[in-house]
Parts: sequence; C-alpha cells; structure tokens
Amino acid sequence: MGKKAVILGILALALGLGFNGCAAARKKPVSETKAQVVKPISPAEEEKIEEESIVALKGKSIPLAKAPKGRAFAEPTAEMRYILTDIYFDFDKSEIKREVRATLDRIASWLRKNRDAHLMIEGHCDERGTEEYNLALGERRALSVRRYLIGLRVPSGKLHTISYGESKPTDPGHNENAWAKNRRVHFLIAK
Amino acid sequence: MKKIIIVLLCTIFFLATKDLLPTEVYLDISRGFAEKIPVALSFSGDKNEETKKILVSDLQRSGLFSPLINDDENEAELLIKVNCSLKLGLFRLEGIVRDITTGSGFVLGKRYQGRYPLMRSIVHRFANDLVKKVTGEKGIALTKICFISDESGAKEVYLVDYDGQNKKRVTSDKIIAACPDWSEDGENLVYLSYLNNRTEIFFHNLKSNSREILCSYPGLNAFAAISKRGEIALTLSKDGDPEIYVMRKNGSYLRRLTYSKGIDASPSWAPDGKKIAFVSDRSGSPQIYILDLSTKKVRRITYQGSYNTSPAWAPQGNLIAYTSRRGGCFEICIINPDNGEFKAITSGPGSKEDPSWAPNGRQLVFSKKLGYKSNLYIVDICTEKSYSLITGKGNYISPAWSPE
Repeated sequence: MGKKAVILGILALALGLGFNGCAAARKKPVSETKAQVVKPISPAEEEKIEEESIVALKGKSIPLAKAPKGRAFAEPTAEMRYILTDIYFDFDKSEIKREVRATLDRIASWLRKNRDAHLMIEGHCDERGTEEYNLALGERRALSVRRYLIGLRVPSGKLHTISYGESKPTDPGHNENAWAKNRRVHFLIAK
Repeated sequence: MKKIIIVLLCTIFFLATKDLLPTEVYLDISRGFAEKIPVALSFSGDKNEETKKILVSDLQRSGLFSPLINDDENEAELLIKVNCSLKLGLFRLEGIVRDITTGSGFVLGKRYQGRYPLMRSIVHRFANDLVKKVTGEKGIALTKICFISDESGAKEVYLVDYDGQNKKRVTSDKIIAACPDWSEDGENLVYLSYLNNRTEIFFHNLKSNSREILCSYPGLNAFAAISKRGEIALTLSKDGDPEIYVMRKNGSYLRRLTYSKGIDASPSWAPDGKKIAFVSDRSGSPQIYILDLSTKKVRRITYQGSYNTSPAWAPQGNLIAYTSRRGGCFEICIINPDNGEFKAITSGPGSKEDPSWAPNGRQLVFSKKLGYKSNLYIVDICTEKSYSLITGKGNYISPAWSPE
C-alpha cells in the first residue's frame, strides 16, 4: 500500500506543478507523500517510484520558464561543486543513466532547500554526431535532466536549459575516453 | 549540340520524379553518364590572364562545359572569344560565343563594362549569360555561400563567393554562431548566436550590416529556415521538448507543427512551401521525415541505417539531400521522397555532412571532416565528383548556398 501511495503522491505533485488548475488531485496526497518520504524505502522500491514519476510526466511537457532577469549564471562555487557535478550520457542518447540518479537526487534536494537558486542546465555532445543534430541532442539531454528534477519536486520555474551541441568539449581529445567526458550535462547556478 | 541535350536530361532527372522520364535516361544516369560540352577559349586585351582564370573556373564549376586545355578548336563544339580593356579604371569585356558544329554558329555576343573592382562579377555575369543561353536556366556564377568558421578563434558567420573567392566575415561576436541560412531574396542571413548567453535567432541584413533578434524563447532557438514565401520554420524547446514551429519573417504568428516526444529538428522547406522535411528521433534513432502542412500528416522517408540527419530539399523538384552514417563515417545521400529511391553521392576518406543545394539543383556544398579538421567541398550530383570550396587554418562548417 505504502509504495502505491508514494507513486500516487509524486504523480500528483508532478502534475500539480505543471498544471495549477488541477487542485483536486493535488490536495490530499501531498501530506501522504510527506509522511512516506521520510520512511526508508528499499533500493528496489525507490527505483520503481522514479520510473513511475517519469511516466507520469511523459507526453505532458511543462513549458520552460524565462530565465531570471538581472541575475547571471556562474560556475558553482567550490563548496557547491561537489553537489553540482556533471551528468554523463551514452552515445546518441539522452536517457538518464541509473548511476547518475544519486547525483540528481542530491541536486534536487539542494534546490528544494535553496528557494532563490536557479539552475542552468547545459547540454553537451561529443564530436561524433552531425553538427546540427548535436545541437538538438544537447538540448534534449538538458531537458531530460530538467524533467527528472521536476519529477523530484523541483519547481520547473527554477530550471533553465541551454545546448552547446559539440561546440564546447571539456576534453579536446579524439578518443572514447574524451568522448565519454564530453557527452555531459554541466550546471551553472544563479543564487 | 546534342551533348547539351544529354546534360540537360541528366539535370532534369534530378529535378523531376523518375517516372516522368523514359527509362533509358535513368539508366544513363545510374552509370554516371554526363558528358560535358568541350569549349575552346581565346582571350585578348588587358587583364586577359586574370579574366581567363575566372571564366575557365566558372565554366568548370557550371558542370556543363569542359574548357579544353590546349584550346584546340578542332576538338571543341563551342568557341568563346573574349576581349577585355581597362581604361581609366573602367573594365570592359566583349564576349562572343560560336557553335562550330553548325553552319551559322552564332550563340551569344555581349559587351559588359564596370569599374575595375567589379571585374570578377562582370566575368561571372558573362558566364551566367552563357549558361542561360545553353540551358535556359540561370547560372550560379554570382551566388554566394555562407558558413561558420572558427579561424578567428570563435565560431563566426562568413560569406564566400561560390568559387571560393572574396571570403568575408559577417559577425564579430567572439562567442558562438551556428546554423546560418539565407532569406529568400538573398539579402539577409538568419543564424543562431549565443551573444546573450542563450540561443537566439538573429536576422542580419547584409547590405546595411544591421541585425535584429528574431526570437529568443526560453530553451533552444535554432535551425531557422526561410521558405520562398518568406515564412520561417525553426526548432524551439520552449514547450519542454524540441519541436518544429513556423512563423512569419517578423517573428509573429508562431504556430507549433510537431507534437512527438523527443527531437524534432533541422526543418527544410519544399520549394512550393507546402511541405517540410525534418529530423526526428521518434523511432529511436534520427531519421528524415516529411510533414505535409495542409494535412499535418508526418511520413518517415529514410529507413536505411541508424543515423540520418540534416535534410535539404532541392530548390526545384523532388529530391532531398541528407547526411547518412555509413560505418564510422558520414556520407551525403540524395533520396526521392516519393519512391524512397536513394543513393550516396560522396565516398572516400573523411566524414561528410550538412549538404546545401545550389539554386540550379545540380551541385551541393557540404563540410568534410578529415583528420579532425573540417573544410567545405562542392559535389556535382550528375558526375558525383567533388572539389574544394574553401580550406584554411580553421574549421569550415554548416554551409548554406544563396538563392540566385
């Protein structure tokens, strides 16, 4: 029963964030979610919950918010850097890999605590795809991370995306090692 | 002049759908049969070496003529006599063209004059008039190609004449510019710039060198392409996913056209403005699709391979050029969207991508990456031979050929 309630709660929250008019679905399960989140969940259960929350957002794209006026995005400070680490992707893919979920959970909980902070999600690609398509793929990677963070109850208005395609590699090498580092999402922060 | 007819038929195949033509013509083309008209040239007067260089290059680049090296009139079908003079800064060119295979022979006779700095365009104009006389179509000798290069240290927009001369930088933003394209009148460029630390579409007037921001929605603003009627198709991610939109040239009346989850990018207008070819990964891998604007129906046209991107609809008729991954490299392919027939028109070492059509529908400009450096090349789709457009110390990518 507990698992089902969490799923329902996250689903309702996700919907509620995107569609403010959806009051009925929003009211009741919120308190239930709060109660459930503190209770430890087994890793298998946790995985299940996240999958469901992503499913709930599928096909219901949430429009991007305007970037905050008069506030510049900057590289995270030294103490922030261990939270906002780069997220890596497979070749030609924009799916969130299992091993980066813990990082995104950390980022989400930090963003929920720091209400004024805005996050710029930069999507990047390795050099192997075509120039134009990589620009779209970089954006798609940034949007995947955004969608995932929204699923973790980060308000969508705090999340912004930009794609650099293959224009800004972090490693100038031409081998699998460099490509793997370049297929990434990098974060900037405006506090 | 019967060879002219063969060359014309070759061009027509690529402009029309296959079933409109007799089968033997198609067979000729599949063997790569495209004979050129042998031309002998004679030059006299001032600046004749320079004039000769420009005109010979124009004739070769038209794909229609083969200038004879020894100018042996016995092997030629056409004889071109050019006389130039340069007096008080005024350049004059007199060109006479005769067909030596027929009795009367006179094909074209024309005089041009202009200030000396306009010499190249005067010679190009003569080449265009000759092409027009022989094929009935406009020549491409006065067209330009815009592209992106990092030779100054940052990715900027550049222009170059179709023969690789007169390279000029358009932007000096010292940031990143990307995916430039032409307005339908050839007087403006649209491109993406990160000038304001986001992706925005700029509309840049080449005459006044002034520009405005056309759209700056949250997220991705990219791949602006202008139809012959002046409508702009582009990709925006403002609704949470990269989708295709169209709007008027001033940015008003924005309409969303695609609704698939995933990437919808790189729109390219059909010449009649009624359809748009684009890339989508809705099937799991990037493939080329066609959207019919009246029915809003979407149809996939590429099924070969797992990576087909950057479609470019030919300016006349029904062919789409695109980039296709073959093995570890990319090649330029052309496909007839009606029957799905396709072929690769580039080969050899290097990764070729991002094709853009010449207004005559016969040549394509593309970028080729070899040894981690990209340069621009042109390929003739009848002969499948390619030659260099521009090389240098930087990378040269994302070419777009101007309208006539």
